[in-house]
Amino acid sequence: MGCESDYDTLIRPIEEQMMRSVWRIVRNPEDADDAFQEALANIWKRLDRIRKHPNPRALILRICINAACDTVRKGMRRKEHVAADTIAETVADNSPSASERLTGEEKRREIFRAIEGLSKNQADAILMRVIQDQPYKDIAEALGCSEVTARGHVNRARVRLRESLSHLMPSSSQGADRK
Amino acid sequence: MNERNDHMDDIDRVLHEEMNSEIPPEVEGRFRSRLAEFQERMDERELARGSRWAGLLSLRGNGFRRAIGVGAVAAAVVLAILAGQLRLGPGRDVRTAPMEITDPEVKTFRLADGSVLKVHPGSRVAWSLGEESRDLYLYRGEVFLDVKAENREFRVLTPSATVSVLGTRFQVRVSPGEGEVSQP
Repeated sequence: MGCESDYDTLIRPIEEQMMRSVWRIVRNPEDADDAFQEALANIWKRLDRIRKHPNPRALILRICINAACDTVRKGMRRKEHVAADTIAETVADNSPSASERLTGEEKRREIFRAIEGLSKNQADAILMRVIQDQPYKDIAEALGCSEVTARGHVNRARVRLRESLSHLMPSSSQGADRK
Repeated sequence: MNERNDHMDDIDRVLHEEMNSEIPPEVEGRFRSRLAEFQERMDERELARGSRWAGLLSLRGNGFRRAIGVGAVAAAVVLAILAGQLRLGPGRDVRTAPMEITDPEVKTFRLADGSVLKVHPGSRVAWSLGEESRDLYLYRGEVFLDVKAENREFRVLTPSATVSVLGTRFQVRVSPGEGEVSQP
């Protein structure tokens, strides 16, 4: 141990996961930078609490997810304000790359809206599971619940997302493996 | 039980496909510089809390950390000596994020306690003037300080040394591998 700093202990081992989770949720360079700064500011504010937490790294990753989701939420509200202009411009742009990009963005927006429809714990749990590949034990510790409850949050989130995103599901898997 | 395969179902795949994306290099670059700033802030905070003592006493770690530890202990000793005389300072002025002087000329700052700080081009500094201490962090470059005399000490922390004064005029320069203090 010796000279390990807080940064070495808490942040360095999960730098990649922090960056990846913010980027995967936000997917826009400027907003991602804002979200990452926001996440770091929140980590800074809660540093004492994080140090005492049973699983500080899982808590930090949860903070990253929350900051990223907050940023996407704000961005979506902003876009709703200028929707009319954007639609007019988009319709005029028929290039394949523009439509592909729009499709991807639209899908992600729908996914995000569906995630927003979940309870806070369900949303955090499914994102920690799918975006960050976190084990249930870590998810449970970040949420402050038992592992069984964490699994319950993830499974309930899956059921609700399957319903609200059924049109995005590959046709071969629709109806299969429903629990 | 294989936890991943057990739960990687259809909806997970949809989320993975739509959200999985490699971080573009320019975004990763920005993230990494944010992390570097954050690390500096965390290290400064630890420094201020004196939590490096254990590392110093174990005499492990690299030279830079040991030097920081020596600086922290030296500063703490000065603080202990002054403990009986400390008074609360008048102004609080906190600039925790390191600032880089990119302008070609020397920049002058008047700090909340009345001290004057002149920062040379290319220098990187941050300061924190609290109720009990006045700290200037000089990561690199050169500063001139005209420290307002007070009972609370004014510390200049560099990667290799810590200077503590109560009120005087002096210059500090940090160049790669060294720190130099001179009094005009």
